[in-house]
Amino acid sequence: MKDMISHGLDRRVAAGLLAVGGMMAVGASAPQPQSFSFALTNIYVAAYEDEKACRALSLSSSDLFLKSLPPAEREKYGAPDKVQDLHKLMGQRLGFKMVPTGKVSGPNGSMAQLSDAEQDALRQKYSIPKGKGIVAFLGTRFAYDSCTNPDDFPFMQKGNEEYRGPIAYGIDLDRLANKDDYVSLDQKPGVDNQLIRAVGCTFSTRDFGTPKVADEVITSMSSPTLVELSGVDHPANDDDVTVRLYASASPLELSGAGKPLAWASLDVDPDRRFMAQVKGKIRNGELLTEPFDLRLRLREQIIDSYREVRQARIQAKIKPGEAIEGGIYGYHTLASIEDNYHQSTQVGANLTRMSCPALIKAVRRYADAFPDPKTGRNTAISSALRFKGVPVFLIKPQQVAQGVQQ
Amino acid sequence: MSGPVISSRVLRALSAVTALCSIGAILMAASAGQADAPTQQQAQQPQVPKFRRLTEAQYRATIADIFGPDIKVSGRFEPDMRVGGLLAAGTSAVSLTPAGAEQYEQIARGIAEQVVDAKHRDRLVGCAPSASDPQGAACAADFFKRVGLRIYRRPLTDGEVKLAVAQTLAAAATVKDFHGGLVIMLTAMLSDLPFLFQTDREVADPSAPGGRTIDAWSRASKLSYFLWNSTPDEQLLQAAADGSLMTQAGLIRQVDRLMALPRFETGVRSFFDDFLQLEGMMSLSKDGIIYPAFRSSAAPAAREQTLRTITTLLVEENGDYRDLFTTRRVAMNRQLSPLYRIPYGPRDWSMITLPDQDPRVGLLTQISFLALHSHEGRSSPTLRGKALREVLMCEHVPTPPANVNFTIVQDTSNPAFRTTRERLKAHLDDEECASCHKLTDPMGLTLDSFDGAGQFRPTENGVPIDTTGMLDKVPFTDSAGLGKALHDNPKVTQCVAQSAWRYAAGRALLPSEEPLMASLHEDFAHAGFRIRPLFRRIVIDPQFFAVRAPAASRIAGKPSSGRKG
Amino acid sequence: MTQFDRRGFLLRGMLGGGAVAVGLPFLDYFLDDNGTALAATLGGGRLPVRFGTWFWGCGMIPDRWNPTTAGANYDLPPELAPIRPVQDKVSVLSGFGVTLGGKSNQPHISGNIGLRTGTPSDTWQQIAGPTFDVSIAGAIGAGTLFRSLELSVDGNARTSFSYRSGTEMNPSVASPMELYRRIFGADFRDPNAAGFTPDPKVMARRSVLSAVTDERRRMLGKLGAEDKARVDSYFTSIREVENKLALQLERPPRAEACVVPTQPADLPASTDVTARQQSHKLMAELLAMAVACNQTKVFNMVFSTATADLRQAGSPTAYHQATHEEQVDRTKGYQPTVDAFSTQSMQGWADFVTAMSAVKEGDGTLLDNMLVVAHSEVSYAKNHDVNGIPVMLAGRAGGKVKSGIHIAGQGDPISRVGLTMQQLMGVPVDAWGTDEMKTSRSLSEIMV
Repeated sequence: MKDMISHGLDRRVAAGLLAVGGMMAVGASAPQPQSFSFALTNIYVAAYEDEKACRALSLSSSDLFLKSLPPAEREKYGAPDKVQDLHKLMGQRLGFKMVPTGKVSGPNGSMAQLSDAEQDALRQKYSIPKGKGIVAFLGTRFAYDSCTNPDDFPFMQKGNEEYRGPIAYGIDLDRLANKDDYVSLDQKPGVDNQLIRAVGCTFSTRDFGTPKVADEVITSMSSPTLVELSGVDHPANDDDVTVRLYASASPLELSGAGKPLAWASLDVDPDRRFMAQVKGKIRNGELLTEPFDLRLRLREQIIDSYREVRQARIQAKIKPGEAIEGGIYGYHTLASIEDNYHQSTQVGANLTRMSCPALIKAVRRYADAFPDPKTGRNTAISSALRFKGVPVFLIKPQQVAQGVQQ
Repeated sequence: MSGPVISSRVLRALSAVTALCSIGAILMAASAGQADAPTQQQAQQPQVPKFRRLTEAQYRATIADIFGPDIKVSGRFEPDMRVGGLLAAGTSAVSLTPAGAEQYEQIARGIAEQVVDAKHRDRLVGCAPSASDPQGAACAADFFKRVGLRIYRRPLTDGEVKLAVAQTLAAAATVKDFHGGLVIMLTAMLSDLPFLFQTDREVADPSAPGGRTIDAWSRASKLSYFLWNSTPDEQLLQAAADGSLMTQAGLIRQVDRLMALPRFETGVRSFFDDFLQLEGMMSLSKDGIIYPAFRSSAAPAAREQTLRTITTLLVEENGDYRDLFTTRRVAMNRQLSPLYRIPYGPRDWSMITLPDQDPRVGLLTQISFLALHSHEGRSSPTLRGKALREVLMCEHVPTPPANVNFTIVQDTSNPAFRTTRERLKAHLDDEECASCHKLTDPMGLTLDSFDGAGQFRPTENGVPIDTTGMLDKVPFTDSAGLGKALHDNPKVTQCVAQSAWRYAAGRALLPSEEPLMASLHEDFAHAGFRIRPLFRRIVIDPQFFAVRAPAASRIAGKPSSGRKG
Repeated sequence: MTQFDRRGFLLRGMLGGGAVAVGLPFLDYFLDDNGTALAATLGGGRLPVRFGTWFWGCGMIPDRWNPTTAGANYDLPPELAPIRPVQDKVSVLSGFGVTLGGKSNQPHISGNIGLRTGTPSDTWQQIAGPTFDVSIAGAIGAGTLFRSLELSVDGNARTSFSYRSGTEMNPSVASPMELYRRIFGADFRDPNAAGFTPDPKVMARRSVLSAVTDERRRMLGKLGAEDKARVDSYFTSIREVENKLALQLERPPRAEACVVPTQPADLPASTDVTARQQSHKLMAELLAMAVACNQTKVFNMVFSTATADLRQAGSPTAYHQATHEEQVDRTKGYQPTVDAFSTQSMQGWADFVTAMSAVKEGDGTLLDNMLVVAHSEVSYAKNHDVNGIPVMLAGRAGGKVKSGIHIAGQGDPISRVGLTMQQLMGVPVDAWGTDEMKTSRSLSEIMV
């Protein structure tokens, strides 16, 4: 049997990784540059807990639908225990569809593909308006509702509450003092985070966006985002390190205690859409990158989507061999945000008590960067994503290893 | 290899050698013994046990070999018993409890029902009542002659065939179904003593006038269960049938054939599984809060890792047993790589070489040894040292006295004693404890840089772990040094040779076998401590088939022939 | 002890038709010199009396466990506090010990062997005779599908202190799910189902097994003493299988309290004490129904192993380690962790007693028709003390035993307990144990 140290692994990287163990063993710095890799266990729109920041929770699509009903029906469906009947009635009245495609979802939680012809056939068969609806539920369903086609349900654009607190996660992206800017948690002014203004008062952001909740949650389990720091001469202070991002082709592994497992070997997905590279520096154990455009895979339960952030900066505390924790600050593209909402479908909207039309309208309204040269409309919104991760080993297919060396 | 591999060839061979298969050979000991009493000198030596209960692994492999791997064996087996560190040696000490008998009967019924069911009937039974055989008597006779040979690992006597047919037909009449009758008879046969127990049948030794030995069928079983951990195959049964197994040349032919096939690896694997007590890994659990990385898949994977490493190095590559303690090569997979904190690319098992700076060297630093001989929530130099002495060196470490005085606390959070070594040292100030702990702790402490789950840790409570130690007056500074000390310690090779003998014999060592052990070890050394020559040496020694302990005066000699380069 | 050929009796019973109905009870009657077997088996002619043991590991802290007042309404020291709700059903036997008489005290082994066999030895493989539960099963275990049921909550079939001989341990059923399947699975016969037709398959199975075994026995020649003992044991065990098959051909006696339980969730075995208590409770409830449904009359339950395998999740020091390593708290005067585990073990025992008394049977409860002995393998585990090993009894054995009293043994051999249990259950024995452990004094205090 042929032995191998690390099959398909970039040897230089492998040596660096192993040197981490060596360094820990003797407690002294190794002479050669090292690499540290992490799998991020949750990336989320971070919400600062401020009781007074929201006048009320934003209305959900079913709240809005209920309001639109005549008084008698409003009475009948208004009770909390009638919410399922209300959802059903809303689907019937508004012509929502959720039909099987006959496909099975793709490998490792990915979306099965449907051709345009297949989609048209489904529209015809189930009386879905021409050109409407999307492939959803990882390709197993075809859906038409207020999330897939928010513009068809304008009455649901109302009821979104703006986040009015003074404090928000984020950094000063534009180096300008605007009246919309927030103050950071550590009292720095100029924080650009219009995304939180738009979505900060929805139930799900309030609930799942607070770090103490979010840090216990694992998302994109089947394809977590991988972060690799290489060329690290000293893990606490180094002015020149390289940061690379990938999607994982292997699922995150869990420990016996149900937590993310450290030191698993995860395969790097060769999909170049999810690769990005940037220079950065480490100061007192904190990583700061230059701005760069990145795309993260978001593959969670029924969704196989992505997050796209332009001119993103990563700031994160690094504890080599233990953890990474920090934020991605930049301009989240509307296209990727809207794709998330589309894919969540009415099912997701009902479960998380949101109104896709209202949220999409709000995000478009507060978008503050990258205007479309033709329409002049902004295509991205300032944002703060936070994350946490565990140390892992990256296994790179040969072409990736070569490709990212450049 | 699957299905009922009983050809008419073997049956023909059987009928041709009926003369060889005297009643005495097929029945047991006594009837033949009366006709041909053992010599006075032999009679003075104690008899060796004649029954060895099949282990669960042997039972399963046997059923798969006889009926094919698609026959499911489901049920709980009676627990095996460890004697002198080996489950194999316990097989000649255990019998069957009522609960066990019930379970075996149930397992047997499950097997019999599958063998005879519509899906397997044509292939495994191959006949049915017909116009010329309206009751199915001929069919039953044919079936039980064929299958009985494999189940009893010897041909059925005429009486047994008659009984099987009569009982099948009677049961068939009661349940009004011929195949139902077959199931019931087959169940009884699979619950029968000669199936559940490897049985040594005594005959006059053709090569030693006046001497006694075990018959060819018993030899075939003994060989195959040792070398393959399963039942004899067709060729081996044929060698029993034609009597060639009773000659040294015929024996060697079969031994070399058995050892040349891939199944020999299974035999070696089974030995080391037993020798290293790795079945303990299957019930091993670790505290999920203290050792989160030790997932439920880790323990079985660690067992597999050790066995794969051993069979690769010792069988595939014909390596030196001692090198197991110094090698940096180890089988790896992705279940285990997190515990080793190494990147691992392949999706499946493969051999890797750990880098030079890795603290792990040799068998003792594999997760299996480290985790098995630890507590659920912390490491134990004492347990590891004890296992090292008892398992790998065949020494005996006394159990602690009843009035243990553990006044020194092993509180892992006590700031006065931050490492295990400090805590143990304080404990060892007690002279009574120290006398035993000095047998175990000096080498156990060297391994304390690996925690209770087998993960490397350079420090404990912030203090670097001192890994210096000593084994039989050989000092070392780390686990690599400990591995080297084991590599060079003759007790280690003596222990594996002696254990292989006890494993093969399925019983404890007899006092008068000591010279034989010396000879085994000498030849093992001569062969560069390779496992194949050791196993071969064991099975071609006349004592392997002996019915009594060797005379104390016996000068251990080399087997008469068959030494291979 | 006289060996009576039960199989021969059954065969005749089968052939003789009418004799089947009287079957085994009378067989036991004949076996019994004292005539107590009849009473024990029939419980005054109506409800059967059952016997069981309940084991927990690592003993207790004597000052925190031993009651100070004798007789009824004894005081409950802190570690015994959990039994308060069932105190009237539980008798405490304190101060009985294993007298080693020059034999070694093998930690966590000698005490248990001494208690169970009346003769201490270094290893279970060397025991002089069967454990007393096996003798009792020999006397009353017939007439049910299982002669005895061994249970261990630790998930390990090898955790059992029921031995027929040194090499024959009765393995344990080790999880609630497995217990459910063993009792209420495919082979379960509802004792109260209307109508009864013997299954021809069972008839044929028994007949063929018997014929093949007879032939095997006939064919075996003379064997060495050890081989012979093992082969005899094999045949005895096969005969048990035949007996069981024969029993399935008889109409089962009516069991009024029998309700087939629903299949339990499959709880994984755990050493965490809370999880252990949960699994144990579930197994105890299933066992109560198995007994009420006349599937067995004898059982052995292991709550925690000798060297108690219990832990508190997240704590690096397990119960057994703590017994040796935990320092006596200066202010409290005892080992607090050990004290907590010991108290938790008593909670397990209280749960068990509650489960048995929750089943109504006749005018009382299932427990009233039972006698259960709870014991550990040491008293103060810190130094493996085999003096004053804690023992408790629960149940009234069909009215033959008083309950709710404390007897202080004052160093008497603990074989008095084993002797008394056997006598109460109709084992014809007037003295039990060897050397200093030999006794003919039963515990008259508990007899009605």
